[in-house]
Amino acid sequence: MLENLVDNIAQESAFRHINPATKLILCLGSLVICLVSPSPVVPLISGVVLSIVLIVPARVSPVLYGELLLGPAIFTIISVVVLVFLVGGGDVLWQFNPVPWVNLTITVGSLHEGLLVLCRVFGCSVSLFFIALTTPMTDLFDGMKRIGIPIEIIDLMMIIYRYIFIVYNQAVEIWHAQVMRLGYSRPMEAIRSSAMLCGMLFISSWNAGEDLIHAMDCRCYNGIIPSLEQAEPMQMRSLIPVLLYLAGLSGILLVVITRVVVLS
Amino acid sequence: MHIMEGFLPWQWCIVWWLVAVPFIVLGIIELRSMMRKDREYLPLLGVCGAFIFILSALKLPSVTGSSSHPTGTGLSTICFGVFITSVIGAIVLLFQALLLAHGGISTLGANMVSMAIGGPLAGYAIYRLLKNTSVNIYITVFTVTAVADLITYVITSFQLALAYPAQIGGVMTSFAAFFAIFAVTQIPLAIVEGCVLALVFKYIVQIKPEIIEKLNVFSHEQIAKARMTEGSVASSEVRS
Repeated sequence: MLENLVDNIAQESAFRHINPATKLILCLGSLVICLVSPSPVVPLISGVVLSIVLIVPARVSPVLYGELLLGPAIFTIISVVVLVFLVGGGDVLWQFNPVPWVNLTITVGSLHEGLLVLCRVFGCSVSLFFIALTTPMTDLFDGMKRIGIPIEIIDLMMIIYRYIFIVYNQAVEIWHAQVMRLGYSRPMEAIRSSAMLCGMLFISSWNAGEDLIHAMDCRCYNGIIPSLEQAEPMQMRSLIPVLLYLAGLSGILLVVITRVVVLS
Repeated sequence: MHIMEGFLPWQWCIVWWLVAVPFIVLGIIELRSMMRKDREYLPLLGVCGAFIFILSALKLPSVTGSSSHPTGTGLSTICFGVFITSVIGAIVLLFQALLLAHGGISTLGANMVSMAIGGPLAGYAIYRLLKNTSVNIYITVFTVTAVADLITYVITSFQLALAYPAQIGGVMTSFAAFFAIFAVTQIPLAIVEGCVLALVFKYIVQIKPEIIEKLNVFSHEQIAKARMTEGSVASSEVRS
């Protein structure tokens, strides 16, 4: 759960000091290119290259990175298997009729679609991991302010972000106390204990919210929480490789699209 | 369980973002007017958002053996209404994508429509329907939560089916296939989540009923009635 919170890895990343806008350009750029690609090649290349960048220069632990990738992998593989049987097109490769009304067919088109979705999820997820594993949330809040997201929303996000850790610690303490008293030994007991945990968490969160108002009032709260920007200015040293990489990836995408158009 | 990054084709990502944006805009407008009226709401909403994040990261006991995650939006819908819930839901989904690697940016629109808009809308409709009837408030909370949870997964299956219609039978066959897979874990989960949140409400009514009164979730009489029934149950337990 929160033990391997992505944000903790981001705090220790070697890329932490790089301007968040540069990293956002790389993340969103490669995300869009992977998403629009009609061929699995482009997202596959992007995923592999960004994974190497994350593990080698950004010094993200390969074990933690592997665990992170495994999360979406299970859901993706199940969904892709369903997809391969559902969609069709092209020659039939394999057919199975266990009962007359169920017809499981794999075609060339469905296999291609499955492979494309699998690679696209990989490429896009790695693009998202790139920003998540190198940029702590606090740096992203500054970026959001600059692109004009309403200040109320950013303040709300900052409070939610801060309280996630406080509420979580409380939840873990209650949970341990319940486990020690065999609170999850039987199914009915588990439901009762979960409800007690959530109920107490809600009430204590509410109390914490009320305390927060008083604490903020003492510090002259007028509806806006001012904060200092700590980000470094954008540097050519990091921006040029990002732009070169995106240009290269777009080049491969163009080649792939022209090939698809010519073949069709 | 959210649709992960890159799973939907880009055309559908745009469509679901376009569907979600008006709700978020309305939510922000409502949030602003709520804060102008009473600025105490911002910290309270923030803390509730954190609560929903933790709730959706908790593993609930599931009948099928696998553990599943509750959506947590049912409680927020009852307390704050649909539009505010859609804003809180959107923030929670963004944090889940960036902090836990669940969901994604391109599919955020689709996930918002299912978890932060569709589910709460259905839940809110049930809540309005049952609020002023003689139905027990715990049954109302159970129904709202279970329906919000189920509708979330119906919409998710529909989104997947629209993006990937079956070759034979089209969207509906695809929808049936995706929902059948979700149903194995989600129907028991919806029931468990409904029970858990109804019990959560019981604790709130017992310990801090002023929260429910302040947000005008249920009337003073309904809360008093619920507390009285519990009081008589508790005293009969003591007597026995």
